[in-house]
Amino acid sequence: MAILDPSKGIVRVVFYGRGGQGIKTAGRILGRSLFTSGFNVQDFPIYGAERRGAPVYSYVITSSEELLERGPPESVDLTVIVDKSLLNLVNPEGVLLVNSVFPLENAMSVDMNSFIGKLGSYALSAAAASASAALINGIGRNEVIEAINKEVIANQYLLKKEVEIAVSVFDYVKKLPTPKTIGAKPKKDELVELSFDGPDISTPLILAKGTSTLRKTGAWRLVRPVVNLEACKACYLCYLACPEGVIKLNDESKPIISYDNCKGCMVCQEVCPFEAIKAKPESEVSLIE
Amino acid sequence: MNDLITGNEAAAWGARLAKVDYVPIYPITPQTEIVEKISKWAADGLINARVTRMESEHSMLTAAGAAALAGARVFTATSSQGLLYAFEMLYNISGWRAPLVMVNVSRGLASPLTLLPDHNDVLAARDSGFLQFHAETCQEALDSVLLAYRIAEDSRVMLPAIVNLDGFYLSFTRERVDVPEQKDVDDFLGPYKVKPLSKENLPSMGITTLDPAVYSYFRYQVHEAQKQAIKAIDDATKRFEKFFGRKLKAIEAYMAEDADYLLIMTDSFSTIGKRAVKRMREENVKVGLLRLWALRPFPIDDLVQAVKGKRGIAVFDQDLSPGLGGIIYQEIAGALYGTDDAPKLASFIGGLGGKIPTDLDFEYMVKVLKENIPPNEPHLLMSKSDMELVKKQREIALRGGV
Repeated sequence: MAILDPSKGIVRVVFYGRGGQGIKTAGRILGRSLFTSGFNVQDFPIYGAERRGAPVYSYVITSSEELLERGPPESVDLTVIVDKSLLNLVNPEGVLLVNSVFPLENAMSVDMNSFIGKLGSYALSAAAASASAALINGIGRNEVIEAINKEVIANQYLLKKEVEIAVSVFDYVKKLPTPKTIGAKPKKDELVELSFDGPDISTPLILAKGTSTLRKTGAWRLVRPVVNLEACKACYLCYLACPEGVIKLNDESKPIISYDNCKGCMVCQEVCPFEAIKAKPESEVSLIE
Repeated sequence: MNDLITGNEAAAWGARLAKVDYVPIYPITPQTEIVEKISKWAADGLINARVTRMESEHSMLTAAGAAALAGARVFTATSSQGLLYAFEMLYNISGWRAPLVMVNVSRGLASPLTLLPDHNDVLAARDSGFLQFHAETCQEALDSVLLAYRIAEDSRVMLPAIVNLDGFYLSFTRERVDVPEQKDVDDFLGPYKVKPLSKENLPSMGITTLDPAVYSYFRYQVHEAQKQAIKAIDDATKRFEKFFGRKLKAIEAYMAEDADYLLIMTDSFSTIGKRAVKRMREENVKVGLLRLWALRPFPIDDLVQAVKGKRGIAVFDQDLSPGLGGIIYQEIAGALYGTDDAPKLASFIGGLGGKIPTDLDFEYMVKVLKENIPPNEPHLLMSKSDMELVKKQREIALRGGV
């Protein structure tokens, strides 16, 4: 069931996930599959000065005609969300493909984790790339296999496993019903003239305090620390050790963690003498929410 | 060999195929991948180059210049702040007439800091005496490195060269790149001609002169050599086409011949400019595009020819000289002033800090040309939604979270 056709015009794909989940590699596998299938292609990742767990995305742009493209496109035809906990951060466009156990409205839901099993995030890039390849006309199973072998750095055992997983995902997605396409929101804009602003405004000076808390680094977490207040003995070692300063103490001197800014480093769990802090995968939390 | 590789890897391939002998390095985003690649090739024995990590860009470029005079074909690469840190040596190396090739991966200059590209970094080097070639695609990153060696080492020229490619939009973007055969590159380039130092060949460089006339003579000779480089570019690009089938010119003309209006651009955003031209052509707007590949030497004669009879020219500067305006606009205005029937010029500033030009920007540029609005000062390409973002961030900076 291929629904996107690069021989009929430009197809733009975006992968959303987190640093460490192979998002750049997913783009590269899809890009390579298209390249060996004879299409013109561009692929590139986007990330800032961030780290493992931070949101990362990568683009693949393809067509059988000349590509006159540079940088992130204004709209996409296929949005692949590899980490479901990012759903609320993403403005989905085109066909929406989500790595999820549950069926979702207006989206293809593919439980990539169930295909991957114990290999975990090692194989996520191969699964996500082959799921998207199955939706694009002109890419065969063999091109995906070849691309995985070329793009993934792993030992022979892992490579073989990843190829098996990719093939199962590819065949599975091919049989799924066609999802709806979410239209791009029309962007109304106009050019404006820049006026003179005095140096008090036009200097990049930050006068307000605590502005870094507005950067919701909570989205970087792969796991979240959950406190068992019963087991907590109010030693507040976690409060002292937290490198981000996101732990406050309640009236009983027990920790309250701000999930808006906690990056999930789990130093608090390490220092807790009473094992009162446990790591919970963010994907499980998001499914409950 | 056709492959899907990044602009950085393509540039590294240029150095590999040129069989460079010496590569002094220092890392900086978004360039680092180039020297990583070369280091790995050297460690794996795939290239026969000595790779040395220096303690700064200033030392890196000093070592590069000295080695080029000592008989080694030299490659190095930097970006943005790194180029500025090495700046003093740019003028020295052109004065030494050391024909090395350095890649600059463009990135806007602080402050405020960014990682995305504009050209204030590389254009700061425009008066140094280095030749300057600007790549539009990943393929051109590779091709330009090969051409730069051929032109820099031309016996009429003997000057160092910078090859510029945009950070992110080329450096980290993979595209189809045709990697030439080693044998063909060997024949295209020929061996490095500077004699290695030996007991019989031990010249020293006359680096000090207090006589203004002597100083004037040597510095002006750098300009004379740049003028010779115009001919060297012509010869080298023709030779390149014969060897590899790809055509590069000091100025590329895109749908320009029958155009009434022209856009002038450089580097990777030219691709978006071409898309806009193609789209406006479908609406019967007679517009074309000139892309400057060579910035030094500045191809004045080609430019005068290419704009003849046009009704208006819009110069898109991805740079800014505060207090004056667009740098390339000024160069083009200077080149055309006083020529017969010079077309009207308008200046636009866009793409600073990597801001991607939009359809709206290009439509506005052509509208200004059509309406013949006198271009007293540059037009900044900024939209309402851009300003809303600025306003939002400014409010947070002044008053904290809303």
